[in-house]
Amino acid sequence: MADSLPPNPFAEGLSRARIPEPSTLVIFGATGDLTGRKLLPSLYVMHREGVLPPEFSLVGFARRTWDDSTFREYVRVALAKGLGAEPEADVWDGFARQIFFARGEFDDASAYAALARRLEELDRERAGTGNRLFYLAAPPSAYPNIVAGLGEAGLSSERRVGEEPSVGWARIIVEKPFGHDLESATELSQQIRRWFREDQIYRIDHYLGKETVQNILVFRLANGIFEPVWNRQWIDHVQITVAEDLGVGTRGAYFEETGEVRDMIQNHVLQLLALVAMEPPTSFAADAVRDERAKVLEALQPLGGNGLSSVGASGRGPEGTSSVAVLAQYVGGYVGGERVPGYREEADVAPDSTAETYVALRVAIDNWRWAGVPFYLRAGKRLARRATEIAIQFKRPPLSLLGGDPSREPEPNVLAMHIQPDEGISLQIGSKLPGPRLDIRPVHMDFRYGRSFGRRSPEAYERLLLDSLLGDATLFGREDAVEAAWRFVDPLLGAQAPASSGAPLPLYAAGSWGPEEASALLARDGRKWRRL
Amino acid sequence: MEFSSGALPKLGRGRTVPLGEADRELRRAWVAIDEDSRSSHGESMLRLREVNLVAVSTEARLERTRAVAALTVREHPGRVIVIAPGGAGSSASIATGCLVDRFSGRRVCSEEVVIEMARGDEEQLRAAVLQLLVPGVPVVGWWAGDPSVSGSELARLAEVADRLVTDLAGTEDLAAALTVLLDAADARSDLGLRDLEWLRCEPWRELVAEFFERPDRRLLIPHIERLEVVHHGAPVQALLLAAWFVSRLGGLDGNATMKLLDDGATSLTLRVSEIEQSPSHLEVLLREDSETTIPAGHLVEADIRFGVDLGRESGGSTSTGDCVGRVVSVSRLPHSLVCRCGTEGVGGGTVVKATGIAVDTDDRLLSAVIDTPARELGFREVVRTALLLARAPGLTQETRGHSIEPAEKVGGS
Repeated sequence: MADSLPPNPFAEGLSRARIPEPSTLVIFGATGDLTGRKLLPSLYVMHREGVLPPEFSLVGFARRTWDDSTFREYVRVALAKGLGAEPEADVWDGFARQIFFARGEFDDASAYAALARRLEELDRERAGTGNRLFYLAAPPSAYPNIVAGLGEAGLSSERRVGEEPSVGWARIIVEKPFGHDLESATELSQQIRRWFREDQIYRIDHYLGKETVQNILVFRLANGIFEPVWNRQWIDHVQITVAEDLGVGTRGAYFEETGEVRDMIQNHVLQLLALVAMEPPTSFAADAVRDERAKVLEALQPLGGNGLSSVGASGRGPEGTSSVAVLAQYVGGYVGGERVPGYREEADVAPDSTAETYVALRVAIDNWRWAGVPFYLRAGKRLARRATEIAIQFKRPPLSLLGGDPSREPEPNVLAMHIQPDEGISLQIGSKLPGPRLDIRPVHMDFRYGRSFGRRSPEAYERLLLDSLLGDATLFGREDAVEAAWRFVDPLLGAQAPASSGAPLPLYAAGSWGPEEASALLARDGRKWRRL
Repeated sequence: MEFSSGALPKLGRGRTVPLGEADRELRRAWVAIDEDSRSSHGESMLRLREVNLVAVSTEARLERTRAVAALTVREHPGRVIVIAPGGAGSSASIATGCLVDRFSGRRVCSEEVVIEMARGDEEQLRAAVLQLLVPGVPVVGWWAGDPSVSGSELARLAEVADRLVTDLAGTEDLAAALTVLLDAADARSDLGLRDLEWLRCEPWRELVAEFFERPDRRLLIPHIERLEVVHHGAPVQALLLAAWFVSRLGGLDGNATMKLLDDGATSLTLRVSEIEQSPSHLEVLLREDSETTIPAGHLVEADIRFGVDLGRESGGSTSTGDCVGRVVSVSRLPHSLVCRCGTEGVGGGTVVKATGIAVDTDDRLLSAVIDTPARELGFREVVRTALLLARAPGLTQETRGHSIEPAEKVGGS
């Protein structure tokens, strides 16, 4: 029916800031690290900037024996820490009035029934419309209990507010990791889908909430000059780097179970790859965009057909393999001038741990646009500096007009999207050096957010929370894409993983750019990693 | 060079220079500021330029205009050029200012040039502005006074601007103000036309649009019989909302016929241009509610009445929350706007959608103008239709604007 009807004549030209309907956000894991560091500061800023409706309510669900005022005080302290300053008194007063607490254990059915009653009470007192957003910020092991508890208490379906036949939506936000591997991800999906429809589920990858990541599609599709060259005819290769200078810190126990593949590659890095490689969507509707992202992940060439091959120190890999992986682990070194310990010396890490803290992959995408263009991905902890970047290196000019002297050949053009820090985009071009000779040097055409816009860029979680309240799932993961990503990285995990083969894990010094094996991975293709 | 607190903000203490040297003097000022920044903070100061904001003000509103402009450039740093009456127009007061955002600590710097010139010399106004525009940066022209008494100066401002912004809330003669806007729009097809009073009623338009987002509800559009808009005080927003509604349905075919009802409401009967999916006739009722607690000059309620039952025509779905009855109503509550269907009046019917009421200070509205693309969609037709409605016999007596006290609409925190 929708296709045969004319467009909505009243919608044309409307372009104001999006303000959600009155709704209630329930955070499971209300006293956890994510809530304190990211969610509460984001909600506070959203309130301060008038993005949240006055009838918005925040309910913290946790096992502590607190009441509303105790939880409000907890929030205030968390905000002071998260914002780096005490919340402004006038702003805080309004925000605090929206905060409530519900006590309960994740596996206690009566706690969810009590939560349901409390939410209805809040709707009546605060003129709510029955809209509920449930945020799973608890340990992943608690997800099945929470989802079942919500479902059995009737909280996963549409609501009525008192006797008024209003319709309130119910949505659930699920934090990564979404599962531990393909099998667990599929099982988790089934557990959630038992109570929530796919359109009610919002799987968070906070990278998609970053302004710079959202700008990837805008850059490609709002500028007519780039899309015609965004393909195998003009692009030599793509490098995607997610480098952290921090170690695992206090997350040793978590990282022992996770590793860098699960922590970064399966989600953030593959999302970046999908955005760079996807076809333009038919529209910017959520599913149109998500369809194209999912297609890229489905088109990734599997990592090694007959078992995974990894490149040894010699730089040579078995013939016939077109996808190669290097997994490595950091040892002690110097970062920021300070001596730092190796991974196996970190707290809660086994002295013989084989968990990888660095991954480099050579990936191929089997479609018309990208056939033959390698995508080199790397992610690691304790690298030389913190940097997330997508670099598209173009092919050299088809003809050299500069005397044929290889030493004077210009560098290839590189379009670099700096995701963080110093967010922006730069294009490396060749320019003549002033002087009598025809010497060419690379220079950069630069766009930097901080030098181009006066307004503040919202934090990723601000954008994602707003979108989930508005019902816009564009920046959230969908089941098919999540499972495709797991399918792709699955050979790097478990029994078939290189780490389980018994061969020693390559090592790299903290503060370096990774192991020699990663350099060899590109060297065998006649390429090298960008120095960031 | 911080913004002053308590008093109306401004971009710093001005220094008078010959107009022809304003540009150079500003560059010198920034060099000095940069040197100071490097010696004090060890780094150069970065100056951003996103917009030329050209504001033409009356004498009475000058300080307020400067304050609103100063607040606007917090998010859109650039050059503010203020044209004020009085003076020969041969000198300018220049100022530079950096706001340190109290939340992020970020320094955002802009500059201001105030030129006082005698009113009426349009060529002088245009020349002064052209001389001072920062190249390659959009120009937003803001008529910070009553458009109805702007003469041809507003047209000169429109010639140099990419976007023209007015505020119909302050007009003494709505029909005359709309005529001026229409003339400016007709003179340049690529001019982006905006009005702050128009933006103030955008949340109402969004809720109406939201109701018709569901494809099955668009089947109801040909059955729209009446739009009733309740307002408090001057009916400018009411008239703009009605004009928008009519223009979205295809626009007026001929003139509207006006009559006063026994209860004091103004009824406009009009024919809508025949386009697909539109009603042929429409009654528009404008009613004032002077007892409401909603602030004067604002909308109270907008009811759309249909000639058929909503539930039956929309496919007869019986899922929970579907609409019944014949009315869709948008009402303003103390802290929210609510769209309901089913029965008239606040509190009745099924809630379709509710939103919070955004804090709409003038600087935030101007900022929204700068944010949105230059090409506005549909507002020209709204202006045209509003003018036809405003000219309905007897209606012009009711369309006086109301004055806005400076404290009421200036933002900042």
